[in-house]
Order: sequence, then structure tokens, then C-alpha cells
Amino acid sequence: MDFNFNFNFNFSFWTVTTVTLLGLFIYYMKNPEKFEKLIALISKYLKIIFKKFDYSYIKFDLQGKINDYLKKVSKKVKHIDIRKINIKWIRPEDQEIKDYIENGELIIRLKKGENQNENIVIASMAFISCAFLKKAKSYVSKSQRESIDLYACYDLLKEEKSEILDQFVQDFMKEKMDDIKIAEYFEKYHEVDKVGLFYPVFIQELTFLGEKVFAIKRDSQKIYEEVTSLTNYLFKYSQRKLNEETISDFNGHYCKFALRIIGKKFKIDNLGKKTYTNNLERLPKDFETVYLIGSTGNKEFIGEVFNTCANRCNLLKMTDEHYKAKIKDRNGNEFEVDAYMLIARSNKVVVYHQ
Amino acid sequence: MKTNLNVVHDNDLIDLLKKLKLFEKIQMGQLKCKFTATVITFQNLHSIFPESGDIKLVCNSPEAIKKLSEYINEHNI
Repeated sequence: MDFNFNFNFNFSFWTVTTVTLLGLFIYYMKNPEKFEKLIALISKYLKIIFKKFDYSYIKFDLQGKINDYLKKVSKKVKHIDIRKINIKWIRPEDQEIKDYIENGELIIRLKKGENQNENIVIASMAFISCAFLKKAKSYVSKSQRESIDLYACYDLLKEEKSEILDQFVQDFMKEKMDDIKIAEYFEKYHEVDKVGLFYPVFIQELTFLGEKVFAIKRDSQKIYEEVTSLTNYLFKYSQRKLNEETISDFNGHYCKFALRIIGKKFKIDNLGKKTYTNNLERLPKDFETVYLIGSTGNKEFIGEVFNTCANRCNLLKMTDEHYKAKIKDRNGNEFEVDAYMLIARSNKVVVYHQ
Repeated sequence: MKTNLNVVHDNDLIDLLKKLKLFEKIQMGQLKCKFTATVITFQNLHSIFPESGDIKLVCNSPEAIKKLSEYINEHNI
């Protein structure tokens, strides 16, 4: 049998333009932070002629950068406090001294667009301290909170031009790192982040902790010790070499979770999902979160393991994600892998505020 | 959830300070940074916030900004 297809495409200029604009519209609707960056770029050139555009350049450049970072984090951490930041220009004519003293808020001074690098550092630090991870930072100690802020700000700025990160490092980070406790935490977060667990496990667990201890009697010393143990536990995981069996469960007073690596070819091929489901079903009843981790190639298998035991273990899937992780081979040398993580949460957990 | 970060542009700074009756005091060198006690000038002003019936000013030294970050975390301003 012989098929002959003859397609005759005859698109007009207007059709192509309409389709392109529609495509861009959908893209920017889905990625508003990219649209903010586009406005910032346009404003950057318009402000050369019209000075008024300096406002929109500064505002949207900052919003685009911070909201891009927030989007990345909110994909990895559930129940995060904020999803967007709005840089709000204060109009002097709207301010009255009496109102400001009674109900006013912090106002940050931003310089003209020529000094945007400085503005980025200042606004990023203010955002991280004022608004970011409030829930996660609520009950941790001062050094733990400051180290989290420092690492988050570093992570936000590391994607920017090197002189911006330099300014942050020289002016703020260097001195903070003189504090041994903060430096130790920072180094551990960095290692944990390399294996991809800083946001989806560490910050996630702190967020859960914040939700749980909100309304119950809390012991600051116990929380401090637990957060330290959590950091050390994840740091130990980050130093794990390929196929090393070092992972136990984290059974704290506030955080109770299990990390399961589903990846050994021998186990998957010969023992199948039963070996993993049996293991998960043996978890104590008060366990709250399960993190199933494996290579991207094992995504389907991990999904099957979860589906098989979800009901029996009272687990609900919270989220899953693909990410790049740097793990260590048997000799301790780092190499990059495409990893996959499925996060499931017990439906028995009592939460006081979300 | 969307959160506002309140900012003032350099072009509006003088007007804002006049409205909040801070302009002349700064001009005369009467105001100091809450965290470092440095005399506040139009060049080194970093931020302002209300506290206990007064307006506090912060200078732009790294030390003051670091202390402000800690203060924000502890006092929820």
C-alpha cells in the first residue's frame, strides 16, 4: 500500500504573529517572575530617556530575582509562608507622622538604578529576614536562624553577577562566619544542599516543626538539640558513599521521618518492591514523613512502592520532584546524578496552623 | 501569599523625611543609628521603622544591617 500525503501550509504573517504572541502570553502567565524580568529589561533602556522608568526598573528587577528564587524553593518545600514578594514604593504624600508611628512598617531606602547591585543585596537581606521561612525559623535558636538566613541569602545571590555575591560575602558573610557555630551550620547546609536535601528535607522538617509546636508547650532547649541533631543527621547522609548502608530513621521528639534510598539494582531486580514495602510497613505508627529517594530512572518503581503501601501506612503523597544531586562514589569523589524524590506524609499528623 | 517589602526611592527620600519630621534633625546631625550610634546623614541612611512611639533610623554600615536583620527576626517589625 502506498500513502501519499501532501500538506500545504499557508500561514499569513498575522497568523504567525498571533500564535507567537499567544505563546508568549501563556508562557508569561505561567512564569510571572520571567515577565517581571522582561519589564525590568525594557525599563532599564527606557530610563535612559525617561527618568520615571528608574522606579519600574528597580522594582521589577528585584521582584523578578527574588520571586524566581521563591518559585524554586516553593517547588521543594510545602506549606511555605509566602510565594511572592511585592516591592512597594512608599509615596511621601501618603505618609502622616502619627499614622506611621502607630501603624507603620519598616521602610528600606533604595538607591537609584545605577546602584542596583547594592539594592539587590540590601533588598535580598531584608526579604530573607522579614518574610522568608518565618514558620521554619519561628522556634529555632539565634545561631540556627542566622545561619539559615545567611545560607538562604547566599543561595539567592549566588546565581547573580559575581560582584553582587562578592559584595554580600565581603560586607556581611565574612564577619558572620567568624561565629564558629554559624560557620559550622553553614558548611553543613552546603553539603546537605549538594545532595539536594537542604530545602526538601531540612527546611521542610523545620516548617513541619513550626506548624506543630505553634500551639503546644515547647521546650526551647529540646528544639535546639533536635535541630542540631537534624542538621548532623542530614550532614552524615550527605557524606555517604555510594551503596553505603548508613541511613537510619530520624526519630526525634518533634520530627519523625524516614529516608529510603531506592536504587540498588540487585534489590530492585531480584527482590522487587516487596522488600521496600515490607520495610515501610514496619515503620513505627507515629512516623510522620517518608522521603523516597532514587535515580530518575527508578521513578516508576518508586511510585509503585508508594502506591502499594500508601493505604496500609496511612501515607498521602505531598509532592515529588526531579533534581540534580552531587553524591560520592566509593572513593569519596563527587559525581552528579539525576535524582528523584517522592515525599509522603502521614494523614494522622495533627497540625495547628498551616 | 504575597508580602510587601516597603521601599523608598532616593528621589523621594527627602520628601518622606520632611513628612515624618526627620529632615531637619538629620540635617543638624541630631539623629543616631539605633544599632551603632553612628550619626545619620542623608548619605548613610539605610532604613526607618517605628518603635515605642518614635521613629528609629538605621545606618548603612554592614554591622547595622546585620543587627537589623537579627532585630527583625526577634521583634517581627
